[in-house]
Amino acid sequence: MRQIASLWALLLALQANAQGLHLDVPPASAPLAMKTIELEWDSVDNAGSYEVKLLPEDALVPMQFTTQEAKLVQQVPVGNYTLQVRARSTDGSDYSPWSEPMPFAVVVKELQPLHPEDKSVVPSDGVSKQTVEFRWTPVEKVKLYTLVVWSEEKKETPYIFNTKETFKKLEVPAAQVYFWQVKFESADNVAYAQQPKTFTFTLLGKHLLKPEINSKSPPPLTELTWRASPDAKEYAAKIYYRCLDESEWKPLREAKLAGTSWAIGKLKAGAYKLEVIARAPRHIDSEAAVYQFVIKPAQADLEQALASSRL
Amino acid sequence: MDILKIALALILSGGSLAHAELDGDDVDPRLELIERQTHKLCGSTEEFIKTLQFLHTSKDVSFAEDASRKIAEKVSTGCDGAAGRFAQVLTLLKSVGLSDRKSLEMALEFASETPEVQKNFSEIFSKTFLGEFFDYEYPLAAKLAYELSRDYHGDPVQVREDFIDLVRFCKDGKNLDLPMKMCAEYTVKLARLTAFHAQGIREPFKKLFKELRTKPEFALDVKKSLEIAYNVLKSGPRAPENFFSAYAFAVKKDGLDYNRQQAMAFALRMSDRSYLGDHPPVVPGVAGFKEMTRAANR
Repeated sequence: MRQIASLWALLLALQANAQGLHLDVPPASAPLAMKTIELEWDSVDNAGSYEVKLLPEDALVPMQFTTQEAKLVQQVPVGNYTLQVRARSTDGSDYSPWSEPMPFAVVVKELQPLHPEDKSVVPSDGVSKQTVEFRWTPVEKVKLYTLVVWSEEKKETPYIFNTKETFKKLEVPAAQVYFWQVKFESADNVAYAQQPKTFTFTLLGKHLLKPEINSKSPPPLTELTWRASPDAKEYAAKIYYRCLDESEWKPLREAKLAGTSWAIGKLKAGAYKLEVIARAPRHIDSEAAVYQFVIKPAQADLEQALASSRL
Repeated sequence: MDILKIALALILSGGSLAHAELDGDDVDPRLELIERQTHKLCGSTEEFIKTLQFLHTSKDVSFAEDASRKIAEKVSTGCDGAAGRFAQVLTLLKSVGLSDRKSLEMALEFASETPEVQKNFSEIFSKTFLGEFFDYEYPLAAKLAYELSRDYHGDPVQVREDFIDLVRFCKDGKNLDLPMKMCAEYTVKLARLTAFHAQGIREPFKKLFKELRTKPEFALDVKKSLEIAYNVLKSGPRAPENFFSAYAFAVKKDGLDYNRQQAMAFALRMSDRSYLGDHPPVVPGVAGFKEMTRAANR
């Protein structure tokens, strides 16, 4: 009896995958993922066999196993368990008390994306199609992975590849939002019951060209214009002002414009800096086109102002 | 204030008239002193009130009442016309896009200058800065305007009239038809010589330029005419006369019998010797001109 009690002091190197609770709850209709566990404990003198009781969480009836050795190798569904062991005498007439209940979890290691990272933005090489390398963490005893990739625009026609490796290069059109999954089977042909997670990333399009600002607008400017940047869907324009004797630019106005002009109205005299950035969904913003100019009053206006201030 | 001034002027003029009648053409030292003193009499209160009223009503600037009063105090130290000079410079600088701080600083500076100096600054700054004229950037326009106003040692009226007339001459396609940048640079170069031509440089320049362009013995192109005109005029008011007479003598058979090139070199050499001092020559009393005019205006 005393020996049985001391069993728990040494007990149970719950092997490898039986730690932590990381599983998503599987759908009710999905088959359970199975995992082989190995339990070991110190043998008990005069014990002829051992009875092992595994009580799954939320279950009323435990699973019971009998083993001649001080260990148990058993395939069980993933989940949370409470473990108890007792020894039985050689002639089968006597039992030790059950050991204290010990909780443990059986999990399958979760597959994680390595590249592209989930919800990441992948820069463009500046071409219309781009090679993306998909990489993920290996899962123990998996013999074949199935990579499924689809874009937001083409959900119905995903790219599907089977591979024994944990990476796959794929050439896909740029400027798209992509989704991907990795499905797999374990080495013993037990279907992986966990629903594969869906990862996503945005593959940017090419770097938009800098718009060219028309610098020939005669003062006083009422409309600022620039040459369109190919593929641009929108322009972010910002104008700054400074007095002629100062060096610090102060933001004056900003706008998001679909076209290539900005009706800014009459500007007062002073120095101005206009910045225009071309934008398009999932493209890299262009560099800012910058145009500095000075608005000077017309001679007639200045003379009028001076005449009105004559004392 | 006006009543007081008139009364004072009557008393003073009455006194001096009586004295002048006694002494005929002799200058009465007392009259001279009174005359000088008249220029030092200032309507400071009027300048204060005008400045304050201007600051209250100006659309270009907005100062707190405390600040406005301090500004008016400062302007009132500039004597007669200070408020007007202040308002003109402040309006000019705010209209072209300067900050309140800088506009105020410069307006206060010119409030205490003479009317001619302030007028020079305003005219020259406008002509160099505005797009219709030289279209200079602000720092360069301001530098030049300071040079030919506050820092100018010659007659401010002459340099202003020279500058304005030369700008007009330069802009007129009939005369020069030069790119504006070149025209501006040349005008500024010439205006800098005004200090050494007591009667101004505009007329001597136009006469010299016209003769170099139209006289058959010269018939030079615009560029060459401008270059020679400058090189002659930099040697003072007598240089054109020396240049033409030297050229005439050089080409004469019974003179030096030179060809055109040799004659031109000789004429330039002679014109270069039109002044014994360091070039450019300085007209008598020009160094103290600013002080003289300042005193005369007070």
